[in-house]
Amino acid sequence: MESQPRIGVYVCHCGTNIAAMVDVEQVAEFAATLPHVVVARDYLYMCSDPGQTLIKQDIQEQQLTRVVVAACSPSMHEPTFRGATREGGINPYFMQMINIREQCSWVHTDREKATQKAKALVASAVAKAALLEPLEDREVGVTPGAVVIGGGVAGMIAALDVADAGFPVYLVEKSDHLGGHVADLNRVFPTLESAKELIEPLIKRVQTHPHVTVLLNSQVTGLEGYVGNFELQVTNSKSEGPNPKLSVGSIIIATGYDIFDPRRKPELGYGQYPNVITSLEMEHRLATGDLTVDGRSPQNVAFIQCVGSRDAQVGNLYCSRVCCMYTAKQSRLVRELLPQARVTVFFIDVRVFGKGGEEFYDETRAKRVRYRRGSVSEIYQRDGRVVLVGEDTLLSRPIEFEADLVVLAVGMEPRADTATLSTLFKLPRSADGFFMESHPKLRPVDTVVDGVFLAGCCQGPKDIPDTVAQAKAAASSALIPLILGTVPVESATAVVDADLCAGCGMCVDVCPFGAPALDPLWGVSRVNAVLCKGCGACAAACPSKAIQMQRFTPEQIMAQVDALME
Amino acid sequence: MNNNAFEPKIVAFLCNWCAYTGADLAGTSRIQYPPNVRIIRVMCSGSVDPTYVLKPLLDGVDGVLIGGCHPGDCHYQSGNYKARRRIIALKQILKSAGFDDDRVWLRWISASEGGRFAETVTKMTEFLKEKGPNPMRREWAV
Amino acid sequence: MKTVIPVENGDTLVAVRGFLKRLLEAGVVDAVLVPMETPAGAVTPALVSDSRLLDAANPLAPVMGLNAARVVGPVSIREPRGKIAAVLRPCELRALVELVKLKQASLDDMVTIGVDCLGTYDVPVYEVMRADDGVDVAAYLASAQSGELAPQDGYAFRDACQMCEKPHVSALSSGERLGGVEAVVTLELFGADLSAGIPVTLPDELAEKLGLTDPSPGPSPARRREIIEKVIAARTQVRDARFAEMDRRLEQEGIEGVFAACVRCHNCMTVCPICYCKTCLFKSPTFDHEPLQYMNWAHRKGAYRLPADTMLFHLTRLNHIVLSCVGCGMCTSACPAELPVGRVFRTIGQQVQAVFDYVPGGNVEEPLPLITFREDEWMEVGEE
Repeated sequence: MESQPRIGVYVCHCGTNIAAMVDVEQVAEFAATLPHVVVARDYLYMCSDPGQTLIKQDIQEQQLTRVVVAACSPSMHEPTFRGATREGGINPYFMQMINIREQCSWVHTDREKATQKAKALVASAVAKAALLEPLEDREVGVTPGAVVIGGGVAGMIAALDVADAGFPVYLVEKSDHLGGHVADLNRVFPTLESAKELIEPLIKRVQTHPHVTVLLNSQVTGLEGYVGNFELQVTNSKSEGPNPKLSVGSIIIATGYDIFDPRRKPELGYGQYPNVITSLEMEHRLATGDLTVDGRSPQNVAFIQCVGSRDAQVGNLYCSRVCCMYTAKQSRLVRELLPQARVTVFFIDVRVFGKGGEEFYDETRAKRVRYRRGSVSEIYQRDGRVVLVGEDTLLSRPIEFEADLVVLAVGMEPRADTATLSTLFKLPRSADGFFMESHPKLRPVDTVVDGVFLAGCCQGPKDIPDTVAQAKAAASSALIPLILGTVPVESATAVVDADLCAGCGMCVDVCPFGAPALDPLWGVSRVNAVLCKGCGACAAACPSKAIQMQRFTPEQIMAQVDALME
Repeated sequence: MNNNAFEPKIVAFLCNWCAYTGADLAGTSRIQYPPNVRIIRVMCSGSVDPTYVLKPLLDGVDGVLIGGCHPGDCHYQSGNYKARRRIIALKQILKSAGFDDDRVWLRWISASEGGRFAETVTKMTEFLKEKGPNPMRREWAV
Repeated sequence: MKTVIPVENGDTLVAVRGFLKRLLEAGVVDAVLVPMETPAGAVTPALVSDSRLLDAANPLAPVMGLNAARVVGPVSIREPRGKIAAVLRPCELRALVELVKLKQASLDDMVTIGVDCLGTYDVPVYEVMRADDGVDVAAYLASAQSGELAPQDGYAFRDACQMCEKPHVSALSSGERLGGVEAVVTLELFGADLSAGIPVTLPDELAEKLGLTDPSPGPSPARRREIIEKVIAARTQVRDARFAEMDRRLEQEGIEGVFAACVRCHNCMTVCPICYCKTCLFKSPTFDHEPLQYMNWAHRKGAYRLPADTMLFHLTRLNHIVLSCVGCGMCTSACPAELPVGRVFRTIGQQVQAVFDYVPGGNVEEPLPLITFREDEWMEVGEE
């Protein structure tokens, strides 16, 4: 039995993320009064190098045997602080995190109550920390291979990177062909390169790559397992036979987007007037070179930007990020095909941020494409032409503008099946409806589900270069477990005290993984730690607690509960 | 006692994979809820021993929330189904033994349901304010 | 086969002993587990291998000092083991079924001999009765025929027996269950003139080995059914009145009121046939608190009841075993504070058991409610 624990408590400000709503100094002062606490500090960023150094130094100088970090969610920085604890010289599992950011400062507005709550949470963490026991790191083998869902540019690029690294990839595509939306495009900005020439070699490479298996007309309909060892059920809409189950180590979701349906803005007359078309229809016309309306070449072509984007009315507050550039591209191509026509773009703001974007926009304007800052509120028909009614927002004057052809620059939306996949993969979605990355800045391709990564527009609107960059990032993240060959798993497993075990076998009955089994000779339960996933169902079933879950023992939980009662 | 001044205390046992992550999401989404809840992370709702629920109730906590994955979504396949039976049994025992079993709430909250978590805590806090303090709070002879 | 064990000179007990002896002598079993009268006159179960010692066997003695299912476990639980005949009351048989589910006993190599129960006394009551007035065995056994089960004048049956509505046994082989507790061999006392013979049902091959080749229908099944129904009706009335009273008390006083005088001696747990843990959680380090912890608790509420965790103990025990509680009432018999432990457990138990539609002591094949589940049950729970 070790002597009394020596606990260090570290309260993080997280800049002002915590400190603004929780009096971190008061929390640290309170922590110092708790049993076994020998040092309590608050610091600006505990996860920073100097923050971690504080912990390491205290472990050495103050002979700490337990560490409590009151900061963000353990899903964020538990590994960080375990690492610091290990480097300080004690078992990393002697560190207990408590979440006073997501559970406190970010969700409450009463500073005093938030501080009170933070204190209670710290007290419960200290109570648990005093009872922590050392554990060893554990890992399991990884099924080499990945599933990529979605056969557009993002999916294909990601699949190729994983395959090029030597791992088998299953590319699951819902439709009957690869290529996604890019296959429907004519030329791409800002190079005006043919989309066909861009996409076809890519498709060819995917189809012929020895490590890529393409599953067309297929959808993922079931998911089991977790990082390192996923099992996916795939359903093929064209085949009656048994549906394949795919076993892989990681998953990349690249399901793309839906195009905004401008019928949801009936005032713009789409579907009503033949001379109001979408930008995608314009792509097809530009591909054929036929821009005529009713057999006549249009003399006045208008583009309307932000259709279905930045529009609270249709519930899409975000910018679709590609419309400004493709409108610049299309308007310039129109200008080239119809040198006599007037080409006007109605815009709210012009956002041409990508590499070469601003230059392309400048050139477009230099080629006499007129940009007019204004919002179009209605389109109606008059004598075979259409009339755009709105406001010039620069001059604050009403607009009435006659055109022969109007192009609606439709934006991107989350795919209709995002909700289904969100449920299947347990992936949260952000307010815009797209899949949510696990951190908007630092973990843009990760999800809250370990081993599941996002690529392309399923995470939010992107142009092709950004999509490709994210796809390659997702591929490299997905490769990490595949290359390592092992993934860390929960170190805490169930353990049996054979002296207490009466051999009733309830732990055996409730375990879905077959981890505990009754020893036929001694009639007591034994746990196969390799099979144990650490859920603790066995411990809840055991009346004498002869079987317990490490890190969640009855002593620890009761101590936590009790500390919360103060 | 003036119930307006009464601030119920709730202990929540949240499963690591769904409800706890849902609570994290409520945080990252900045969804506000009353500060009356104190969360204890457990790996699975199926690991919540009824004794862990009874202990704070006898000590006078006003409510205990057990949050797990929705049916079919358990990270450990079936922990939530076992939790469901166990908590149903516990609540019946509490009810039969003369306690308020409605101080114990079992709720399914997924990792993507930050809003539902916040809403659950809000509802539970309001419910307990209405109901009043747990009589065990001042009952020493238990 | 149904037959009747003949009784000579009106001595029922000798006939029962003779039947048990024949089990040993015919080599059907290696030992008989049966209540024995000790030289000092107490009644206790013993594992008897020498048929001559069965002259002290008395499975008809109206006293119950423990639920014998507790002692069946250790002698049956694993191989190698002997072949045993265990003479048990209905509440012991039911407890045994639960213990088999909990892997604390085995029915393999076991001949259960179930005996209809006419009611039992607590040990101290029985001792006083023996010393003061003597036990009127003839009157006791005669009550089987009439179904007018009543304690001897001036004495009372055990609390649990007064409200026991499952006092009869049913032979596994008979087919006519009458809802009784099943055993391989059944001594069917209800409705019979026990001074003339003891009706018994047993498997044919066993009857053959014992030389019981003469089938006899005994008293008519209708008569037996009539008497059993009469007993059940009377007992159910008592039971329901007690349920209602206990429900009222629990609602008004709470369990902390009903158990207010508990001294947490753990007797109820010690004698409970279902409480099978080697060491109770409440005797484990989880409930070893630091001295300062008690001080914290005293500060928290102003006073803190000692021994600590008394209600937590009872509520946890309810959680652990109430679904399997067979209502034998040994807990009540063992309580030094004379608390109605058994009544509380039965009252709460029948409500919790009803939720899961579970009958403890019924079918060995039926899983314990808390280790099983269906995905599509209680779908509304957790969703609101």
